[in-house]
Amino acid sequence: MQDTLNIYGTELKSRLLIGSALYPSIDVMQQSIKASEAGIVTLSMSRQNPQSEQSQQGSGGTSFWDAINDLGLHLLPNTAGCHSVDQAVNMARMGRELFQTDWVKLELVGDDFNLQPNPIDLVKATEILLNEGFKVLPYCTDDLVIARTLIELGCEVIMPWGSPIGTGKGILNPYAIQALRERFPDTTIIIDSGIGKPSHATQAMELGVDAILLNTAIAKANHPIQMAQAFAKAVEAGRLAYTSGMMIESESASPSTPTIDQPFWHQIDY
Amino acid sequence: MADRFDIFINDANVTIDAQTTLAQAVAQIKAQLPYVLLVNNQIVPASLHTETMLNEHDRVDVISAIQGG
Repeated sequence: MQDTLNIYGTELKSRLLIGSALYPSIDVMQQSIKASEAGIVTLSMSRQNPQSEQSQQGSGGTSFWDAINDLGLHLLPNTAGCHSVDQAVNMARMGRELFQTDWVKLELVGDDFNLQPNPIDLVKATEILLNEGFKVLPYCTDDLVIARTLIELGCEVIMPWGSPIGTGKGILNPYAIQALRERFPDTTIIIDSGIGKPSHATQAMELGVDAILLNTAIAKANHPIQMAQAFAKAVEAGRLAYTSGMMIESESASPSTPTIDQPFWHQIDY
Repeated sequence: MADRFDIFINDANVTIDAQTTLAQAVAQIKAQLPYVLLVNNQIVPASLHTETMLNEHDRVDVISAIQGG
């Protein structure tokens, strides 16, 4: 049976989700996304300014949209920058209208220093959007009880942080991530932020999460396309390791090479 | 009722004919598809763009895709 990622019933081969921001150019963005083999790309929304150069060359515009469209991937609109339930809910509705998808990466900022999600408002916004038929992918902390609340509301996917957005610090609390996996074996868990290098992604996958969503670590690499390839391999390696069943860690050493019947057996005693 | 009046599109003042539809108003500023349109903070479904009439001082937002993580 093929090992696939499940997002509200949609099966995907890749366990890497990728962002579309911060690349040095639209062309590098497109090539990096292809190299990552991701099946889902995140994007956002803002007011259009057709008379501005920005609309053609900046963070949006037709060239950006054409490049994203050409990729033919699932689109995951976010609610980045929203600080209230109303803002987030309205932005989610805009995303549905604009991108014709019920998926939403629900982000609700609770603190501007570390962009930590506001767990209370996140729950409120999630409830509203689920009732409107959205398939909510909430960006949350690694708090077990908030995660349970989101799942009990109807979230089939949760997206805890590894560490704050854009920090590249990796998984700051592996215990918490492992606890989420233990407690919610049937929920799709995606690490949504803080992954800085491929080994972080592998570590997270080895902890049993289902997928990794990242952006900065690829977009801000010296060679984003090559880094995208590295992450694709790292995520796959971590998944294979997790499903293979890893050895139990031990405090004492044991030889991997058999020593019985070696010619000097019984002759040396350390 | 005036033949022409002012509305705001993305906070910029725009003068339109009184019988201008929402679709015509955003075409006037050369808005590029795809976009989602809001009038006074309410989403107007694409199917209603050509039949939605505007009132003086209405606030229109033209929202389109940008890069995001």
